[in-house]
Amino acid sequence: MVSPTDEPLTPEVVFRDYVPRVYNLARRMLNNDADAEDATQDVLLQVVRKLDTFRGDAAFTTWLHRVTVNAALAVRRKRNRREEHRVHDPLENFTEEGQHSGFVRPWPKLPDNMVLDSEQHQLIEEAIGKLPETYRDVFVLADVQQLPNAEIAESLGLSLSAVKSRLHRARLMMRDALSRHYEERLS
Amino acid sequence: MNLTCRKVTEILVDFVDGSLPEEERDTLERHLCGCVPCAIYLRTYHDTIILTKSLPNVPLPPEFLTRLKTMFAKECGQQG
Repeated sequence: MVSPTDEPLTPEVVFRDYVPRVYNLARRMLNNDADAEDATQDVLLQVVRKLDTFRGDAAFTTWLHRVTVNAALAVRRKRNRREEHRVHDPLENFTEEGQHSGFVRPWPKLPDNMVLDSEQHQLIEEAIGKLPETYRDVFVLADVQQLPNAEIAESLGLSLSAVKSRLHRARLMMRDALSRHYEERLS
Repeated sequence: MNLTCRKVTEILVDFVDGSLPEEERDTLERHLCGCVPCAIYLRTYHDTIILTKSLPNVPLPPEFLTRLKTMFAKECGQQG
């Protein structure tokens, strides 16, 4: 994530530092390019109105994330197209006694400075897209955008404990989805 | 206090962000020392976070970017 700067918000700064972040956040929340474009356009119109009142600082970044989340949720409501994928609950992979019911296999060691190749990139994007929306929103904001839980709670109107609970469940689902790929790589 | 593997999985989020109370953390670490599946599970849970964090932003489609810049310039002109 690009660090906030203290530069004045010129159109160049907006397009260099903020538009890619807005588009990618919307795209991952909505799992649809056209919807992401609509949300990004809505956000840009709001940015124009605020251009003189903000600098490119942390307050602007926080505001921008909130506006983007709201725009994405509004597009989702307008589309009224729910595409919930059935995702197996990872907490069902245990016996009645609470032990793992199957083998837990290791993944290859990740390099220290992780750079994803295009196959890994696509795999992770697809796994995010298959998360149920309730979990996807929190996961994208927390683990992709790296926002603090308190900011996510405020943006989504959730309690802190709900954010952590959804984030955890999303990570377990992601771990399961990625396991299929990374376990194969080792075998 | 003994932890089941399921309970370990449930509290990983607190363990990873450092918010697990000390006593529970000690119990979990003891469990991890003796339970290979849970140790692997923790490592892959952590790897999931690292992999996601490494996700780059995709560039905006060029046509959309052009459209957006035109709209932005027009709106800025109207504001000014």
